[in-house]
Amino acid sequence: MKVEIPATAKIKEHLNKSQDFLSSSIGAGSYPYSLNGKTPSTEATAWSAIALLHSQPHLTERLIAFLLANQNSDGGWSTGPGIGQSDWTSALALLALRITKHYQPDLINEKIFKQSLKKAANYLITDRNDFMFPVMRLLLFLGAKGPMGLQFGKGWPWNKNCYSWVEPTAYCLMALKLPYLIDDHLIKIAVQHAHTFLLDRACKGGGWNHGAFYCLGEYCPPYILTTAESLLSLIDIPENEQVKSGLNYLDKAHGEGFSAWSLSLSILALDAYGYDCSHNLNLLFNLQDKNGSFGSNYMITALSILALQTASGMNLFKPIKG
Amino acid sequence: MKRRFFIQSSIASLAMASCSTAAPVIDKLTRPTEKQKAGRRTGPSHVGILKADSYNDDLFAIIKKNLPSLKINDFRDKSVVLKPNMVECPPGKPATTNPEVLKAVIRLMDYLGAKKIVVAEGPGHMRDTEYILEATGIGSACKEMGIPFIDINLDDLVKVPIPESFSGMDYFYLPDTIMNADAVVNLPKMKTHHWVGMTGSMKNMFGIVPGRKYGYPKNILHAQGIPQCIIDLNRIVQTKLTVVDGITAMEGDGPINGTARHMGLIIIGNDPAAVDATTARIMGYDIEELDYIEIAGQVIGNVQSEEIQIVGCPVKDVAVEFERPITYLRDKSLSEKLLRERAQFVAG
Repeated sequence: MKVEIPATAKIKEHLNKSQDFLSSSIGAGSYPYSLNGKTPSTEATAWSAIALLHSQPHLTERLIAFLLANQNSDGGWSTGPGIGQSDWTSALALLALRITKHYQPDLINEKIFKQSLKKAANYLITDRNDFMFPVMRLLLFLGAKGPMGLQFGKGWPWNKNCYSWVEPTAYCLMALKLPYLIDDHLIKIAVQHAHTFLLDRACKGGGWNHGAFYCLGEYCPPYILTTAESLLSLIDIPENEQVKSGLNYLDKAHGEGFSAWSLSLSILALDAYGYDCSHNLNLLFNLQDKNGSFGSNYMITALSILALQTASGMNLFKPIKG
Repeated sequence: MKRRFFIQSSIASLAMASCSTAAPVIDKLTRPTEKQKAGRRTGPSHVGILKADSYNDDLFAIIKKNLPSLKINDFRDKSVVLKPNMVECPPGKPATTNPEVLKAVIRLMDYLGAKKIVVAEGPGHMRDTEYILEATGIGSACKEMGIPFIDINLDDLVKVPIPESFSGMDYFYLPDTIMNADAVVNLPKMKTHHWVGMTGSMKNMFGIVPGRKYGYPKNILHAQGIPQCIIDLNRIVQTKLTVVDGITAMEGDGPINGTARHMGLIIIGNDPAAVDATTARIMGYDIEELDYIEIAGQVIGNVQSEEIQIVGCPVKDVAVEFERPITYLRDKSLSEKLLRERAQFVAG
């Protein structure tokens, strides 16, 4: 069943072409990253499930079935089936499950969803590492940072036993907050720690890069993609000064020279905060290939579909209040 | 205090003071065992130090003229992956391989009879590879030369054991594109590096580690030890040729935030250890200062001057003292003082 989304004729044309491309490329119920790829990618499959949710729900159902079947025993997901231990892609698989269950509840069995959600949320809570031992915290308190030394943030790593970084933290926040914040005490604490982590790493002048705003005496510049992802993950605190600075940076970037990946995430983030994205949408149109795809992989096409849908008022990255 | 221990303790204090999540582990490299030494290249190595004053020069012609003396490997009928450095693209900083060098090496591979050429890289910091391709001009170079580019951060993966591992890891998941190529040609940038002193051929192999599995930066390599992982990667994937972009190099706080230094050089050779050791000497380093190159001399290839036959300019004619990152100053007490000051600045 194809649900019609009100939009201008031009946007509809671009949207339909990209949806047709993505839906005709589904293969065995999952997507690889690359258009030439042979093995499934959890991330590409998760974004595609969300992108096809309204236009091709029967395909989303297949993609979600793939994700459910490949959830690891610890509750997380690996970058692809059988590729090592659970990793950062767990957040995106959970995001796809939660968004699908909310907007198309019939696509996932209630009991299976609840079991999967519980395991996945538990994985995300336990996946974070603590590199600061109690003695170090005390030293921080007494020495460098004063009382703030005890309030340092804690985000998520790409892999177990590694440091936290901006992007996996942003993905995990999105997974826990969208379509609404999971009502759980531990999760709310984790979200607060992750907010502190991200806000503490905002670049001078606004925006985020992959994780270090300052290194050995140099301020490091922000990136478009990580700024957009961070803003999407902090959407419930729009009045925060770092969020406002990040929005200002992203809005002024104007999209020239952006890839489809950066443009689509920028559109999703700016639209979620109520900014006009018509300029960036026009730039995105120009990056569509004749076959309907955007960029060199399925994930970027999926994200571009989600960005195009914002023109008709649909942005799945806006949280539901209440 | 040994430099590696000094750096380790300095980084640890910097990390503690700033709550940084980015400081890597620079751990002591263990002395190689006999088994680890077994795969080392044998025989002398030839390294070309070729003058190329500008990216507008005919770089292919400069390399071609020296081919007979360089004794480079045979690429006839080989499927070849060219691996540039595209770590990220800070505006105005020479952090990445110049597209003119890439184009020259594409022409070289074509001239040498390669049956298939692709360009592949897995940028270390930015996920958005298409953005970096555009910003660095490498995407345009590939299009102009009709050569496909593969983002190996998102490639299909192959599980590859690490025999006699230095890092303690038993295996890597590595890109299908790299593991199924007949030959990998490395195109690094000549740069200082604040965690390991300098980056050339061997450190550039971090770019083959797929971000889809190991993140951005390839953080597990930092956690397991950068020098150890450099050695492991170069033992698994033995590149067939290195062509260093040393025309505009980076000094100071490399590999990202340093400043441009015109060197006007192309450094080329089959043996990555020999190329790196030569490049390091040109930058004013002693090999003993660089742990991973010292160990590479025992398990990868030749690093001692007497084992390396230089083609083109002698090292002494082109060597200069690069401005060093604060972690690798000759005056260790000054390094320590600067690290403390900068940690204090973040903390404050």
